Amino acid sequence: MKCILCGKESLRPICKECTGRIREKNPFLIRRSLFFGDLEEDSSRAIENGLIFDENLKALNEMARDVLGGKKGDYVLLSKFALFLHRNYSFYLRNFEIEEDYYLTLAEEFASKVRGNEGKYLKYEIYRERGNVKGALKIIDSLAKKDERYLLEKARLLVEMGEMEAAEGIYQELLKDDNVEVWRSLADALFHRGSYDGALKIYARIVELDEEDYGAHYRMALCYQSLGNLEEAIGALKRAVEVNKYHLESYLLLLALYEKMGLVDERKRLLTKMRRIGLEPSFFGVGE
Amino acid sequence: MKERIEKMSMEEFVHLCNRLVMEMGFKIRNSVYRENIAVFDAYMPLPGKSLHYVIIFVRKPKLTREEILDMIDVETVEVRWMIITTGVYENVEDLKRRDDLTLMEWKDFERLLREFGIAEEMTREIRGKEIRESRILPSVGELETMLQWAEEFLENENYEKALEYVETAIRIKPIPKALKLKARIMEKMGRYEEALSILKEVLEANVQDDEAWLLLGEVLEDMEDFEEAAEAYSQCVRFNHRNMACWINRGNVMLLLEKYQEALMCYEKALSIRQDVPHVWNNRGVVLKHLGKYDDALKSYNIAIDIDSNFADAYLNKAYLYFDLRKYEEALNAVEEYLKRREDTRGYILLARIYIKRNMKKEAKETLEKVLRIEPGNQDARELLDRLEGRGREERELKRLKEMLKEMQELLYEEIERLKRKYESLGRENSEIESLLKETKSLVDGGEIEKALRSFIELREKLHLLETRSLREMVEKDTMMLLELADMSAENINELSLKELEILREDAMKRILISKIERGEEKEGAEGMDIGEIQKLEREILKEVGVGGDYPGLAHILFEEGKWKELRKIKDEYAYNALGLKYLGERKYKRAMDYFVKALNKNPSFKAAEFNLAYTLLKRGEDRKARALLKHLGVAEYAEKIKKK
Repeated sequence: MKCILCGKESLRPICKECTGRIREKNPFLIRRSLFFGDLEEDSSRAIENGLIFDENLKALNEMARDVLGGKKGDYVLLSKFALFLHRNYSFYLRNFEIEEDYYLTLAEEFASKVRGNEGKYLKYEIYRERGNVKGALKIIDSLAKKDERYLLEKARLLVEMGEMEAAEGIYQELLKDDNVEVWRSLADALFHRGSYDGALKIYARIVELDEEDYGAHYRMALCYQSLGNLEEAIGALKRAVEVNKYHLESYLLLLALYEKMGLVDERKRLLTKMRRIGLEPSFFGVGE
Repeated sequence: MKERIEKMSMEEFVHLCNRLVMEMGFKIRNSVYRENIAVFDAYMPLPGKSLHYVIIFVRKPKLTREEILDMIDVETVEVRWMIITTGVYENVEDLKRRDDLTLMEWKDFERLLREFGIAEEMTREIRGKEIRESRILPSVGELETMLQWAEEFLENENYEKALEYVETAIRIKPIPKALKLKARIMEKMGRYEEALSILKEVLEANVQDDEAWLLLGEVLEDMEDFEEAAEAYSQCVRFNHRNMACWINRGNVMLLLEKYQEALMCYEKALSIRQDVPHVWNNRGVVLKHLGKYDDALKSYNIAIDIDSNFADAYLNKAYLYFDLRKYEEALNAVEEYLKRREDTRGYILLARIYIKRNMKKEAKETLEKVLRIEPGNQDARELLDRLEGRGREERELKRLKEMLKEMQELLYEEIERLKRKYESLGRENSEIESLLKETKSLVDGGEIEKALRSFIELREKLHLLETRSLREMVEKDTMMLLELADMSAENINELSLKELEILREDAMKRILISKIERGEEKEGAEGMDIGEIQKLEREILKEVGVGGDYPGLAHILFEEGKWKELRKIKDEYAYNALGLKYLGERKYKRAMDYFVKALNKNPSFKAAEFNLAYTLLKRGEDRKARALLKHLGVAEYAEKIKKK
């Protein structure tokens, strides 16, 4: 194929030379936001919200360029941003003649300049993204020995690795206080592992402790759906939208389930309800 | 009312005149009276400058030219004379042309009394009696509660609910407060005619309800009937001259109608009620500029900036003023201050104009190119750039039209090629489609674009039918293969809808994935399976069934590079989002909205499109829908930020 910028033969839409040129000025490669760009937002908050505007991109690219050129900068912020891009925008790299793990390599480079526990934790996250779970376990283990706050993350990693016995020991200790955060961590870990039955029981406990947790109701519905119990899934979704009437994901799943079960009237009523609060179904490709 | 004034004692008359002079915004230095004449030595305090006036009130049925000349001192400069009488003037045509003399007869006197609320005070006694006789008090607390709830729903922009409550309240008792609230809700819902009819009803019951007049003005303004809106606002201030919002609204309408003197008076009135609103000072500056009072305009802008140093509009207006006065250095400073606070195309275009005036062509060109990067379709920037490069308008238009036609033909040829390839890839023969392809090409060759487009529609429809049939067959075949791999049964597959087939495919994929993971676990033994390995497997399976394009996000790169032609060929969510961003940047909200909806239809979890759609909806005034999306995204607070933009 030919490079869309210079027309030379290339393996990807943007050839190696053009990639190098863009990268030199904008190390994160993305130059314009996918979000309409006349708003200003603090960069840390922007990353947290996932809403990166043009101004943020410009500032982060400039800072990364300076840091890579030997100047000082906010290494934690840059590393977090590279990780964020890896998790959410790695597809973008497929257009360039560049390594697939480019964002992770960048994150690693910035993280290597961060000292102390914060630097180690960034490294842990990068290892996990790379799929190096053993390396990740080693780091989180050493962190957890120094600071109990890292124990929960260690237990979660263990569940995802399938080391249930080791994880159980930590959870039992942490759950002595019936802490809802710990329950959430366990349930999410089981859910991600695909252990829907186990996750379901724990989500049920979570909504007992915190009825307002619409995320838990929604995940319960996903568990029920995976286990083939559609009526219960519908019940859980109805509770989710009662707690958070703008939880679009619950509405969309509920509509799909009604359609699947041939519940035409319920589906119609739900569409009307969505319209009433301003969530226009046709925006999301659903309708009568 | 004339009769009342004529019957007043001289002390009462002087007192009335004194009140009127003060209400008009003058400061009185001294006053004297004799027989039926009251004279006030007064001045109008304006920022940085005061205007000296002598105001004379005369209670007389007729006032002749000679009598007037006796009263005023024609030799005095720097003094303005204002004569107000309860009667009429005789032979004063030449005097009326004098700049320093204002003559007002009874109808003007009466209008002033009304506008500045003194007539209302004079009739208050009578009005009080009327109100006592027709007073309406809600019999139960329920009415108040209903109205309070309706107000709360209105504030939260839940208009249907607000309407429900206000209607219940009206059923209990149709008091004016409830009716006015209903009109406000109707206005917000865009049901202007209904709002008008309600307000008419309220005003028929009490013509002096200033709030109803204000609302009426706002509805008429929404309907872009500015003349009528101005009339409604003047009724409002007639009944309550301290209604600041109304003075401001009236000023804005007058400014729109280019009645600058009246607009100025309205802003002055608003400022006599409150002086700390920068927008009013800014608008006052605009009016003064139109009136050619440049120094006063500048002072007004400076006051707006003193009140709020971040008030960007005042800097831009200041820059425009300096520019018009050819003070380019000062204009440059002001526009730079503006751009520090708000970077937009208006600021950059003015900056470019300043550069052009100072013969800094390179800087002007760079600035205009910047404008075109922000807003590619900006006409002003294009024209200025053309002028800089020495191109004429007609030449440019002709070139543009030729380019458009060529571009259109190229696009159509490409489209024909694409449809041809699509047809060939389906591997089915269809003589109708083949002849349509030939016919369309010959129409494009002959430049008959309109006919060619019609032919395209037909061609696409036929191709779509053929494609749907063959796609269905492919999906069925693919699903059968997946079901076999997943060890699942496949009965009645040809009776299922495409959506049901999709669900079946997903189930099959999950099963395949789980069995691969289980096999992996067996192989790895007690150590379990690596997370990276699972993700790799997932990717492999997705690849097997062909989910996802080869280069997602390519459209966004084309957007970053401004390559619109190539971008339009891509039909994924990133392409639609990118086109939406382009149109949003050009303030073409309807088209932007269509594209963001297309992107969301492709992928309902595409947050960027959802956020951008919310942004566009806010710009289109569809606040409720926009806010719902922002609430779903967890960034409801952005609504205010966007609205301020």
